[in-house]
Amino acid sequence: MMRRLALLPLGLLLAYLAVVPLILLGLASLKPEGFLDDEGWTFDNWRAVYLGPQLWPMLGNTLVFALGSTAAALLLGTLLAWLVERTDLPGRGLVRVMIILPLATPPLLLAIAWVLLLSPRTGFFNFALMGALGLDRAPFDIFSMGGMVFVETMVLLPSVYLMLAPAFRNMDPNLEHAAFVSGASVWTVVTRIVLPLLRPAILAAAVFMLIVCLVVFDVPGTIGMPVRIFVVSSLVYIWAAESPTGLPLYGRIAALAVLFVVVLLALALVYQLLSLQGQRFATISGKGYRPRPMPLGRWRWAAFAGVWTYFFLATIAPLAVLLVTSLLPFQTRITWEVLDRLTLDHHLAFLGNPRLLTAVRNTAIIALVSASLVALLSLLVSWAVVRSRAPGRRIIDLLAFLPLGIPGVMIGVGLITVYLTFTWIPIYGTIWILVVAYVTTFLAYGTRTTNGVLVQLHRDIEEAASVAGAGYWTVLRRIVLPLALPAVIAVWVWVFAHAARELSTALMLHGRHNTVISTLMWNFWSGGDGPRAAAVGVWLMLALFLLVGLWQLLVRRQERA
Amino acid sequence: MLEAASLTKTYVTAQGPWRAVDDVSFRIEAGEFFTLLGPSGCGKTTTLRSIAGLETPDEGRIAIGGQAVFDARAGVNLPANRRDLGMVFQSYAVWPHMSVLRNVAFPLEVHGASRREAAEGARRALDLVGLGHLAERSATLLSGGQQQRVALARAIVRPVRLLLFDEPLSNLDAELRIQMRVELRDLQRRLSATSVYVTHDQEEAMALSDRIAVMRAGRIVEVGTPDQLYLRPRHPFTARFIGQAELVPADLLRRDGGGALLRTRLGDIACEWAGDVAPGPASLLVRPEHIELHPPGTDGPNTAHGRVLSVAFLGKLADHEVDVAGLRMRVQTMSTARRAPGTEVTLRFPPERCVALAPE
Repeated sequence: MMRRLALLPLGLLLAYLAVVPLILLGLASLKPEGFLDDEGWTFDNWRAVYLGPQLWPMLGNTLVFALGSTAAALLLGTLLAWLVERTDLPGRGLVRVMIILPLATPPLLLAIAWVLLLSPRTGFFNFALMGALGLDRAPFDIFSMGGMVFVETMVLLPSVYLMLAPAFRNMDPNLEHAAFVSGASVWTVVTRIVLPLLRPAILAAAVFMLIVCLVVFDVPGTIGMPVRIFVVSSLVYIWAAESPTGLPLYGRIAALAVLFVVVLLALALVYQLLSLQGQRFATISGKGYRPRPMPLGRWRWAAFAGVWTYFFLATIAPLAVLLVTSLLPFQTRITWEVLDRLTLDHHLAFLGNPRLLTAVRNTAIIALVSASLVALLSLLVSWAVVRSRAPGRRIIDLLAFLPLGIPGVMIGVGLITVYLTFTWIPIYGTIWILVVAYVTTFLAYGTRTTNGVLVQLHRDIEEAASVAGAGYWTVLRRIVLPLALPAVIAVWVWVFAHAARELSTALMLHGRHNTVISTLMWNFWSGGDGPRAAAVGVWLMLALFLLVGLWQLLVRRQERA
Repeated sequence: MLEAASLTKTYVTAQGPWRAVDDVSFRIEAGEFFTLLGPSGCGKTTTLRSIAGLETPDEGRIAIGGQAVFDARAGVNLPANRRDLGMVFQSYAVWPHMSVLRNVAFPLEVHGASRREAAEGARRALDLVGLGHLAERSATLLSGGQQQRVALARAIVRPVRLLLFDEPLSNLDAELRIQMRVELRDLQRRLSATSVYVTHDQEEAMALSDRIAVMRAGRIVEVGTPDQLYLRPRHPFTARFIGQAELVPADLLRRDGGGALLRTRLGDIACEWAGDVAPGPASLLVRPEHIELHPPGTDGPNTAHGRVLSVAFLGKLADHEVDVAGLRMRVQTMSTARRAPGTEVTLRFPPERCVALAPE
């Protein structure tokens, strides 16, 4: 009985977070200016969007960008997961550690770094290659669809790896060996046994990556926008921040949002179904037999070189160029002469500037509160979903998952609509509207993780506590929480890192009182002040590396114990 | 048919190098059912996987049908898929994304059979293991015993040079295990397939095998037929690992043809089998079910006086614990012949059932 009662407020809270902004967004699209208190109803916004000249190029760009990045990241990420988990690749342990680093790198910074490396006018690599090969023009132009796909692939690769590595690790190696002994070649084993077995996991990863690519702003905003290659999120940003009339075109954004929300929610449902299907193929064998990894033979060092090329491109080169840029006196090409004039000015300014310190404090509060709320809510939602038999539990699961498919810029606009309407909740323009946005967005990730853990937790464990006389909350506090703690901490760290680096929603909800580090970096960068953006970025990355590193230490110590 | 010579495999572990397989050699004749038997960690699975080509020994040579498939010195190492084998795994390794039929047809398909030929062959193999009616079912919807049969059908679907079994019955429940044991033995006889079988279950090894190699700590302790290993083992480890054994410290006084005379705390005991044990320290092996209980005072050679301490009634049989000259010995009789605790008895150790072994 208690469990049913606990479901109701949870369900209402989730519905408020996920559904209300969508409904108001839909209604706002039918208002002339996109505000709910506008007079009258109209289809003008719909006509302007769907019959306008910007729609088709934008849809084409969005699709090419999303499909291209997803395909590339999936291919390389699957290969990396296979190399690390199933072969005798040299230095696999180090790869497992290194893969965490790009994960802690904000995509905005990676995009900025690659502009610094491959811009046709000032890119370091471009000039190095021109010098080395005697070319008279830059061989690469980062400001292109190819550049966007390249950087987004670097951004997504660690996520693909992290999603697929456990699938490779948990697959009973005897399934492969049985095929080998039957006389199958390596190629046949990979194509007829390994890949089909992993198909649900790979498809789920593909749909997840596709969703991420369709909503991402950082990379297309940094690389595509300056040369007017618009995808959906950057177009929405332009309509909101740089509309020709000077007023944000909220009505149009709302009308466009309807299409994307429908498509993305459909994808989110597909993802949900695929992940469920994946569990059917769970093939964890009982025998703790660690098999000989597959020998790569003469490909061994080629694979090693490939993996480290990736780390060089994804982490080492971007970090180096950001660090050097942050020490430049002003934005300029990196040459040997300039290296004599490096200065710590921007770093010192960062440490002394009250505006920067406010942004740091805001970011810290937002990340801390969002991470804690998401961790707590995820555990409660999962416990209700996994354990209760009430009919509403599937709806709750779905509500928690929905926001995954809503672009950050659109959640931003949705929340603007909500809190300009519900003015009795005075959080518009404050850091708390960002907290609401992040809790909504990141809850999907959190509940996926905690669901997985609670499903594995045998019901007997809790029932033994109930029989011993523990009540509802005591069972949660004394039994469920300690057992789920590693997962809850993982959720907390993930949300903290992502909230600290999130850009698109923050840009939409940006006001005078809620500047965060990511919007500050964006403003420096788009204002042409690269060194200052880099200086801020270096400190943000340092903080995130420290956080993730500490967490990994904790995890490793726990695994050993 | 199969020849393994001086196989050695060392693993590097956190605790230092560990010899999983240590100078293992054996030969198997065509059509023979050969079992590697031993406790977990004795190297039997590593040996089997080396034959399969799933593990690479550091040293040694493996030849199948006269062809070297592995030779550390000559640098020969034929991959698993070119050794022409069938193998049944402990976890069955039935591919969950294929139907029963496609699982079984797979070895035929990768050897170039058309899809139709492969399906026909697979059906014949499925009929052999009694699963013909489940051919179209998804492999995930099978019970453990059925998955076991699918794995078996997959291993025998082609005429292979050698069948390998890695503890195939250990995940089944007791009744099914005994039933599958009988079926497996029948099938192997009918196909006259040369088989190498790995198990830690001595009863299973006895029931199935033509010959058994008993392994411990990476080495083969002794090879023999089930009869030999049970009735006339050469090594105390074999005596203890196969069946129940009473081992009494003894002194071998003199050899007497194939037998010997042993001096023990029980008195002087004549054994009809002493292998190659030389005079000096030795031990006496006698199985609990071979010791006879007689009324007290029954004298004669190979007898000793004792007193029953306790009795366990097992239904058909009764287990006695008997105090003999300060030794506690187990004596098993039919339960109709059981003695009450406290009863004075004379134990007789039939010379034809007594074996002299090296000291433990």
